[in-house]
Amino acid sequence: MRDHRPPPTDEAELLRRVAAIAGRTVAELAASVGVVPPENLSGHKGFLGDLLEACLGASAGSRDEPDFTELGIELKTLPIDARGRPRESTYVCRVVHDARDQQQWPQSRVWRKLARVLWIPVDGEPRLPLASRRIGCGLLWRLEGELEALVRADWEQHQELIRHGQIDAIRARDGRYLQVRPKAANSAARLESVDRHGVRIETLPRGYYLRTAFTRLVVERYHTL
Amino acid sequence: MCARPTIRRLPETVIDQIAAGEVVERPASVIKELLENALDAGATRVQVDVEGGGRQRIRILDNGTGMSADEARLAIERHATSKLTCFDDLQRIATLGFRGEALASIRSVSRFTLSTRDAAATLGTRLASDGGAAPLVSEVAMNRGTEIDVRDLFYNVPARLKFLKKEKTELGWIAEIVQRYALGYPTVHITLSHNGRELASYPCDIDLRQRLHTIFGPKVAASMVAIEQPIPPRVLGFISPPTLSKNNTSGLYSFVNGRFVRDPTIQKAIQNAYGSLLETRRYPYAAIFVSVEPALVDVNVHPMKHEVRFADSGSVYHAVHRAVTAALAESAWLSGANDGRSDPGPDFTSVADGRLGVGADFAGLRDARGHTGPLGANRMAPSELGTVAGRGASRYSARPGDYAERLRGRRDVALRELAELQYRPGRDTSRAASGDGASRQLPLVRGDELGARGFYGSLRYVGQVLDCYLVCESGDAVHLIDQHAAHERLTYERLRRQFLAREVARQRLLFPVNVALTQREEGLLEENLSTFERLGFEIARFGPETHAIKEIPALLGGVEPEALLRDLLYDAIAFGHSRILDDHLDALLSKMACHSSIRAGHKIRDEEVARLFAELDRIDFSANCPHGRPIVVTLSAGEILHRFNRS
Repeated sequence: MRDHRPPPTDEAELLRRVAAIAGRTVAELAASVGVVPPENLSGHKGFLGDLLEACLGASAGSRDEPDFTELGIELKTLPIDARGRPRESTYVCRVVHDARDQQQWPQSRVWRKLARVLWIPVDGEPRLPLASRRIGCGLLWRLEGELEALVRADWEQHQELIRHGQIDAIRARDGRYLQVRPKAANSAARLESVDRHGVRIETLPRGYYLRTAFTRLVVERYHTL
Repeated sequence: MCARPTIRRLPETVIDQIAAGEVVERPASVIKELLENALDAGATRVQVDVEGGGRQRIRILDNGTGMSADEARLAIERHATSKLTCFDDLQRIATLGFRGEALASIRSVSRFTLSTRDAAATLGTRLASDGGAAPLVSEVAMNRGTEIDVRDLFYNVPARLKFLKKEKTELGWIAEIVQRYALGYPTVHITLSHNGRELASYPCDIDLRQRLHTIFGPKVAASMVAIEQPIPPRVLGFISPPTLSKNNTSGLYSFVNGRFVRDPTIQKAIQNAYGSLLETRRYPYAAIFVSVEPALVDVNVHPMKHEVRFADSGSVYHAVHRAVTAALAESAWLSGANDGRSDPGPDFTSVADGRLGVGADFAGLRDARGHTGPLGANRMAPSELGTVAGRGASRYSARPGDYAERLRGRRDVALRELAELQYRPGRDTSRAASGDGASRQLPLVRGDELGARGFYGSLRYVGQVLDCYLVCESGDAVHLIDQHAAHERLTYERLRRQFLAREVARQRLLFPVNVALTQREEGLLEENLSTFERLGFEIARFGPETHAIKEIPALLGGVEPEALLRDLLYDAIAFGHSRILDDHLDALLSKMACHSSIRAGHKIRDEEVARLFAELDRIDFSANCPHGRPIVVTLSAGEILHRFNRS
């Protein structure tokens, strides 16, 4: 993006920026940072995320840390369908495949990524041209209470299998709200890993994803259509 | 080709007949005008005689001040009146009539005779005129007062004649008109007869309740309670319990400075005050008298004077709403609860001319014993209502702000424990089917929860039947309580309390709703932005002439935000504040309460029943669910014995 804004100095400034873009179209936002939106997201999967990062001043880029590094806030776009429901699962972070990894929930990458999230709903109706899709009312959110317990329960279930070197046994349908899915360009991609006996193995790269069932809970709890 | 008609001045008789079209619509409107004249003349007795439904003859005889011969000649001319002298008088009209049109209009469409004598004359004057022709003047021996005889109404206007309805229908309208004035003037003796037979007689009742009895019937009148709002604009009157209602507004009588009006502000205030106590499209019985400074009300809106325009309709709305709500909040409305303690209502014994609540300076008019104060006017002082404090609806001193405090305080106590009212479905502890028939002691509820034992607390719980109704017994009756309706009312009150406590939960819209506003709407919105925020909205400017709604009250989650905002803006224009939210709120709260309450089919436990009853005793309006359905149905011992053919 040509005109990437500087990072916000505090949460209040970030929220002011969020309020300012609510209701704008993708075309309006793109024009404000000097880019032309593609016709659709095919082949431009990360466009919306990049656009919002540029408009709001997210600084982390692709680094493995929260998008608003200084504020410890992760930016997540939420494509919403016509019924007001999230359309697709939300990528959280990559799965550490090392079976010797004994990390606990408070130190986990999932927790760190989800502890503070700025959800930005985006009109996700595929029939609508990308340029005319609207940005919704952002929500600065904290993972806590009941919702945290739900995610944590799934994460611990997955970690249990990873520690037992059974990462390949984790299926996409496991986990009610947090799932593990391959995250690679194709099925030939391989990641070097270590099994529970310390033996090097190769396996498919995987990532943690929040199911739409979870983001729907977030939307329903804090938003109305 | 037709020649173009030339413009020319109409003859006076035609002008009168056209004017009559506005004032004289049917026999009832003739009677209205003549009754108003009689009352303005200070009559204490008015006799209305009608023949042929008013088509053949209308005769009105009063014992008012009467007129001199010269005044009588003038009175039948158009725009001749004793009630106005200059334009400024029009700004502070305290009489019923003022236009000086009625007699001229009536005279122009009938065979008209006016006989009158004032106190100074020994003989009266009679003026007879057919169809507006020059009157024949003669002298007549008569008592002081005025007699107007209108024969063959519309005999010279066939077009108008053919629109008149059947005799009975016209008579019905006449009776309604007479009834209105009888209610507004309880110390004036008014009679109505038709074809020589007396149809109604409203004797000089110094107690308004007596007159209510005559007009509404014994059942309704006996159950009515007094309302009072002593801070200007003052309001007093009587309202019926929600259990007695009609499917139309014909039982609603509202008077502004003694004038019967059909005012939407007053009607809406009454309706909203009853709110969820009445089912949809049901209306209470009420006689409500509003007193407004004459300068603050414009009665010169319509020739029939059924409508008025308030300078501050918002304050009138609030005054009526407050008075009605306070009375409703103080009454349990439980069947039989008012037995033997029906509210005697305001003391009207001091009303000399019977006119209720005529706007003027009320200060020091008279005390409750009827001693005339410095102004010496023959008018009712609403401040007299203070004498009935403690007898019924108005048990509290009415300092500004007391009302909200009072309701809030009562409900705070009542609802503190409500959150603890946990129902756990699935455990059937009902023993209703055991057949032993023995009533049982409910589990003890803490003293501070129960408070004073009210109606529900005094009942002996027998058991649950049909998975919905709680059978209870009291000394001489059996009571069936609808568990769903009862819990629904409790839930509703909790939700409403949140709103009144200004703890409005907000709901963020997923996508802001952009609303294009006109300049006027925009100005109004900007002006009232803080009010909208208090109501639970977040609205921000989005662009030129566009605002974005980002948050709405969570309770209104199902409402279309743009339509709601527009309604609120229009309402704000009309009333100076928003009432639409109240309207929506009641319906939405009712719906939410309904969905979150225990349903029929839930096997209720004894502890739940005990807590339910304790809470019901603590809240207002515990006799109806928010939709107006009864919570409790009572079968007296007498009724049960009767059904079993026992004496």
